[in-house]
Amino acid sequence: MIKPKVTDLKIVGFYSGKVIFGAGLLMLLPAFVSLLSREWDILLGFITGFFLSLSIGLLLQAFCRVNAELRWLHGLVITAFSWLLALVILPVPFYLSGQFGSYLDAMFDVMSGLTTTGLYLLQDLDHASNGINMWRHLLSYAGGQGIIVIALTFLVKGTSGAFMMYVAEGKEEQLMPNVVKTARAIWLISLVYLGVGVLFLFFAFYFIGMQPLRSFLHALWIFMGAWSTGGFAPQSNNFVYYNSLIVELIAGIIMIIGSLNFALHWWVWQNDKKEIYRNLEARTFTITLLAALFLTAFGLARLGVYKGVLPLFSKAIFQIASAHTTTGFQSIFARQFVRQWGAWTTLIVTVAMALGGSAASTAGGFKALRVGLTFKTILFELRRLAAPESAVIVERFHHLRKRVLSEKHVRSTLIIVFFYLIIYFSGSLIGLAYGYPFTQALFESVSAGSNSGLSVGITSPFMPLGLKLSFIIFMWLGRLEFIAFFALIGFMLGLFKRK
Amino acid sequence: MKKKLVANILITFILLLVFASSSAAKSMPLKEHQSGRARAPKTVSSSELVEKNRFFNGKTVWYQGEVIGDIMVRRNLAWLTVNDDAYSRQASKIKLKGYNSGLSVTVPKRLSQQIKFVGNYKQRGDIVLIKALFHNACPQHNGVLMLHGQSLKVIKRGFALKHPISPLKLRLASFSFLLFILAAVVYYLKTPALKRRWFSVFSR
Repeated sequence: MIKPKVTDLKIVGFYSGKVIFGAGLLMLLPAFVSLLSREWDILLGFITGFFLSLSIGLLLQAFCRVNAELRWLHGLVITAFSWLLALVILPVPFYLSGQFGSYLDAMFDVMSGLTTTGLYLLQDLDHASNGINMWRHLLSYAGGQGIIVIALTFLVKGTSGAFMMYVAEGKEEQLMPNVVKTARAIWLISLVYLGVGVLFLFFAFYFIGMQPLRSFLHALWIFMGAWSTGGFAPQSNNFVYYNSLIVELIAGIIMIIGSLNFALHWWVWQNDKKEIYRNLEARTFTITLLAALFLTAFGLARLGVYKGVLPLFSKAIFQIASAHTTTGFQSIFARQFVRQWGAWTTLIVTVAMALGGSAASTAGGFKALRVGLTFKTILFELRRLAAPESAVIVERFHHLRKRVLSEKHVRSTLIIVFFYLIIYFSGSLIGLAYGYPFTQALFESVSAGSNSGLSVGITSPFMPLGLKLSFIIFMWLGRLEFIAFFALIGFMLGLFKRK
Repeated sequence: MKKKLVANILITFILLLVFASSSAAKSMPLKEHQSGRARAPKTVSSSELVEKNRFFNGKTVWYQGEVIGDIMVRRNLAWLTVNDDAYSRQASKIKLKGYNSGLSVTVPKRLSQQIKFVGNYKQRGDIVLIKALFHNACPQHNGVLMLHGQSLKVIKRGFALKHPISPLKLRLASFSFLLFILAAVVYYLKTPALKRRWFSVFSR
């Protein structure tokens, strides 16, 4: 562990200032919505938050300006530290809206939004303003691409350290040779889908009987929630509010597309459409999704919850897609998991959340690529055991190009999966210690750690303080995939080192 | 002696009569109240319906709450969300009482025309009393846990909610603006002259 110098601290401060400045600019959109909706009281909250973020961003840049190169370790620490700063500053409009029991609750919702989790502690959502709803969904949408990606798009040079900032936010794939161009490509992909998705959803909402303006706002918010696999919804009954197969179908497709690797999107757009069939990650995701769907449908059929094939499959498909993509939309009430779906089905939903979507996407969980590589590793070991000692066994996989399974792949995969398991189970134990049944505590803990946002009813404004804090940490760890967190801890411990 | 006995009996009788009439007078409003209660339907809550969904499945229930969000008319049916949470029982200013809770209800389109206010940021929705058939997985509507409304009555009209500008928030907004001006000046002074140009904050 190296003792950080003043220059290192200044670099971290300077770039974190840029990230906070960029994140503060996001408040302009909900402020504009509040202005149009004549929500003056809410608008004041956004003005306060906006100027506060910009001020802190400017002051950090002013006092930490330094002529030194951004290195890899800086990139990791900047990402982790920027997220912490964002967690402190961005809840201002939430808290001033008066719909949160405490500032910690507002911080919980910011972390949930930025990590695209979708659990929330906002109270009386059904009487929330358009501005606050816009802010919730924008946090999800921006968080899905990554707040670092926002800064990289406009404010930061594309150095190796900048690439590490990008990697530290849970994305490894470079779509373009330059990290800044990669960040812009991610925004291009997201904005193109935004246009198309909002159009489809607008017609769907209008078709099911909503007024044009409400249809547009709900289309925008539901798209942001689905694409970012965030799971925030503008009404407390989530998708039960709409009671529409067509809305569930469109949102389901957006969730699945959103959970695919940005590199896969880019590859299919630019080069080879067949990649989607060959890609290990896409294949693994399809297999596990179908397996989870089959097992859920089996469980529900055995319990006889739904009469008829259509209700059974539509509910099972939507909930499993929502869980596996780590979106968190619910077309059933939270307590129905416990009271109607039974232990088996709830367990399958929990496993689907734990597995998660794709790497370098907006989704959380282990990620399909790691699940695929774990299976490949098991296959490789079985083949090695069965083959003669002199045989050379090579395991290949296809991810954008043909690759040979190496020890490095296996090691990094298993380490990350191991850390995810640690947060899933430690969250369950904390829940258990607070008196919740183990299966329910496991469900909620996996939901927070995998950034899913489905709930069986444990998450609420009145849940114990310890659970709120641990869920905030698990959401953060799950989103950053641990490396940046360890870098920040190492950096901070280094500050107290004598030499 | 006889006279005394008759007098005692009379006094007792009168006392009994007075007591009986006074207790009858006391019990009169109670009786009315009780009979009023007997006439008023006993409502069930949304959480009861979700928690004991198997018990209530296929039963006709009375449900009361605030109409929220949108009235979505689909052919001859109107889809409503009716919240029976703590907010639906608050008189005017909304105080925080946790999450919302409510259920989806379908009613014939003509019944929904009584509703004038739906709950949102700017207004409190009408409070409605609904007689409905409860389904824990409605076979007609894609397995949704919901109520099929048979009758609907607006029992309390909604109203506009006021959100006055808070002086504290106004002061906070002004303070943050002043802080921003100060930060911008500091940033300008601390930035080397070479990099000092309009909107240099966006320079990489």
